[in-house]
Amino acid sequence: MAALTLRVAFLAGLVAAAGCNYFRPTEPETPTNPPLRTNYGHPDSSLQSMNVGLADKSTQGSGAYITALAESISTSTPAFHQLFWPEDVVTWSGLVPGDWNASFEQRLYSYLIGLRPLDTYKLIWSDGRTTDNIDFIGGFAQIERRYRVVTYNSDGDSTILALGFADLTFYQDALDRWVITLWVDKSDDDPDVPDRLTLGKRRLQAQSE
Amino acid sequence: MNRCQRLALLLVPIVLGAISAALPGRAQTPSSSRFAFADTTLLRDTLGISFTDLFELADSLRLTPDTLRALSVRYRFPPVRMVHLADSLGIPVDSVGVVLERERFNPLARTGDENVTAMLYTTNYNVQQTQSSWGNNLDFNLERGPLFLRNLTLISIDRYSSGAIDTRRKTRNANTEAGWRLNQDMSLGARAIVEVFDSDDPSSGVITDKSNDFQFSGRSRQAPTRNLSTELNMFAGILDQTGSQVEKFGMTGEANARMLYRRGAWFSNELRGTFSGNAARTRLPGAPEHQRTHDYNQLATANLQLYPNSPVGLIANAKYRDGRVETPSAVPQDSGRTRLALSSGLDGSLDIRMRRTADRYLNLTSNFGTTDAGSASYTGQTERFNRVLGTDGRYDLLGWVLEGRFSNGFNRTESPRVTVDGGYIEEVENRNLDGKLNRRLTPKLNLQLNGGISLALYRYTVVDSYPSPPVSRDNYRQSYRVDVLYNYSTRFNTGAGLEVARTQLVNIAATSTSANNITRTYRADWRWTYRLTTGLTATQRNTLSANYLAYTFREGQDRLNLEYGNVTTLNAVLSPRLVLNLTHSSSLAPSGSYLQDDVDGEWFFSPSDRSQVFELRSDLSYTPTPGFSLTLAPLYRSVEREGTVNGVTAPQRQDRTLTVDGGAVVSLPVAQRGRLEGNFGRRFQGQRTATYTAGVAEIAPVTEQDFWRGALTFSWQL
Repeated sequence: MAALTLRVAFLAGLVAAAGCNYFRPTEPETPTNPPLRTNYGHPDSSLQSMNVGLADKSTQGSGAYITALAESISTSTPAFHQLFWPEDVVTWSGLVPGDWNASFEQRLYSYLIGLRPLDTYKLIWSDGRTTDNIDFIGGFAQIERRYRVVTYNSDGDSTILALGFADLTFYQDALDRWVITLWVDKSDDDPDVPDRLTLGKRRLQAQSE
Repeated sequence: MNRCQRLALLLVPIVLGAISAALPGRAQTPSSSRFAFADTTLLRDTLGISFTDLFELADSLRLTPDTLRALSVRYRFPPVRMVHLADSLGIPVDSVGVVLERERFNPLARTGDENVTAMLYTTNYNVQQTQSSWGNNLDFNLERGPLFLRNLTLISIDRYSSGAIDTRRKTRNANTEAGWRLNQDMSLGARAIVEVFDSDDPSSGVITDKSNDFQFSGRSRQAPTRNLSTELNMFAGILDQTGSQVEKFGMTGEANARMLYRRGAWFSNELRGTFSGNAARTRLPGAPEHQRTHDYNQLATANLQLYPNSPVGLIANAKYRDGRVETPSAVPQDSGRTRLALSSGLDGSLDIRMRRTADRYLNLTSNFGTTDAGSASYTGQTERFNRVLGTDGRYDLLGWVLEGRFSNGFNRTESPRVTVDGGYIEEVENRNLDGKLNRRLTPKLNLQLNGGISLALYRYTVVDSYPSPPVSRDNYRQSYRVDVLYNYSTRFNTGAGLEVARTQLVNIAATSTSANNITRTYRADWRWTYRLTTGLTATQRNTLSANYLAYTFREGQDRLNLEYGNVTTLNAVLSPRLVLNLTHSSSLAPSGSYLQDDVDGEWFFSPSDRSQVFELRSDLSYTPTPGFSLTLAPLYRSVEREGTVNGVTAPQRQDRTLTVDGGAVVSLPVAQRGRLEGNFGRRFQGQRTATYTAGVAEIAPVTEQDFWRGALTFSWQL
């Protein structure tokens, strides 16, 4: 018994000796880029944060973009899912993922910023065609928004990479962030745009790359 | 006091616990001061079950009191009875219900030779606003000499309403076994397991899944020596599955065995093993051809106990599992081929327990496990490894009770193919240390101190070219809490607490450190209970909290959230049949950010948002006769939210909600063998909302909900 006590006391001593730095967090690296100004305190703020994230075209920007989507491991909100516009699925010859979740959405981000790497990116959100349904007390919102992913080259010429409408369902998570749990993608019949690719179609292209 | 000294203080209980294991000492009764701060609402009688000694039993079993209470309510056994059953069966207390359910289908568990005809029919109906369920269960048992027949049938119909769409799910299961008990240790028979599931969920389409298993069964048990007992059960038959996922037809079988060796009270060793598998012709629904597939699952467990009730004991557990599932490929170019999903795992634990009394012990614990989870697709496979080393102890000295707990856990998860591009490896290390100190300062005054510190380190390594791995980071937390409880008399007691916590998020890489932050939390509460007269008791709880959020690398983004809360309850027993509870609660929560003064450059708090919630609720219960109560619960709730726009505070939204819930609670015998239990009632809710735009209110029409709700169960026993 005495030997056992000595071992236990030795173990406790080891822990105490190691304790000086045992619970000290690692020193982080100094930020290389200016911090992104993001805000997830309102559904529209979350959408603008996605724009900030896409415009940044970096790991930090990817994080800002993805933060606006509900996490699959969160217990406070449902997980993020995206539903394709049926016509996009019909006209697509490749594999269509059964469930487009946040993990797939990260691939969309990488795919989009790789399309025109030298250009400046913008994800422009504007009002939809239906009335917003936002319950601030219950932390639930259903809104429709029109989106356009536009790039600008050094001469200022713009290219529309994607456009469409999205029926968006938001929940307020445990950190009071408004995050998207459901994105129902819809096409935009804008006659001024010759190649009307939705983000849903871009998603299908992204997963086949 | 530097960091090392503070940590050394937290290690005091561990060192004292180690000393207690070596020094001679006399037996002591558990100190009741440890339970002075326990939640006494858990002791309320429920469903006729008494929860006396709940805290002491839960403490000795190393369970939380609410877990032991939930197990007792679920299986309708008082905690003392649960512990007695666990001891007599030689199993953990949370396995009692599972083992009792399993043994009901074991004909060798029968002890007498008398004829038995037993039947229990239960029907339950549960209705809520958008869903309802109706269940019918039949449990039939017939025994005539060596012959036996058992049947368990479960039928449930669930209905969900969403707008104009109704969805129905029907589940029907029947498990029937008939046989002949050759002697007390052997039986032969046959069993049929039939399962049918129907769903018309629009999101997944109409689904009908059927599964029929018809098997011969053989059960046996042996006792070669007084200390050794064994069991061997075998099942073999045919499998027939049709449905939306896969169609399968073939042979199926299962063999399971158990061996228990006990030597006095100082040694016990139990080994269990199960192997099940099938060889079938399988195809996807609608596919023209079948493929031959082989599936199996095997599970082996071992438990070793050495001197479990002695001052020093050892308990070791191990579990190995392995399995494979073969399915036809759904990819057109793989037509005619099958895909394999392989999975396996090994878990183990080793505990060394040194115990003199309930208040003087030290445990050394270790766990490890490895899991290889396969997938039938190219992506999704994961391999996990984890280990945890820890110790916990308790020591009482001169009226002080010290508790300490330390653990270090490591997890490694390899997900090389999250997508076709690659994946990542996650390594997580959790370091935890916490301690608690209790003391009855005077016969009326109790003190409790809590402290803890933890650090979680997350590290990620990219495999191939996976574009977006999680961010490597550290999560740090330290906290302490002081609680005092003053029992002035049986009529009046009061208590107060103060908690201080600091949490820190540290992203390592420069590209993500802008989110790094530190949150300092201060929380205080004061509560009192006063019995004004016989049958009239008032209780109040007041809370104050503040969360200071500071970003390490972001200037001007810091935030402050404050909250003041108050709950007052008046409990009145107006007569033995009439009880009234009246509760008023309020919450005021301003929050905002910090602005920099243009003149002196100082930062100051600028409130930007404020919410107020007030609630008044009463619960009235009238019991005209035992087993039947009428209830009425009106609730009024007011929520107001204000925001600051351009420095001007303006209302943003107001909600007023009135809910009235009235109904009855029944627990009545019906004739001699029936029983009706449950509750039913009607709920009405009205809500009016006003939203403000530029200070002008837009009042939405009143929304109302009015629906029946309830859950009733009728059971009849032959």
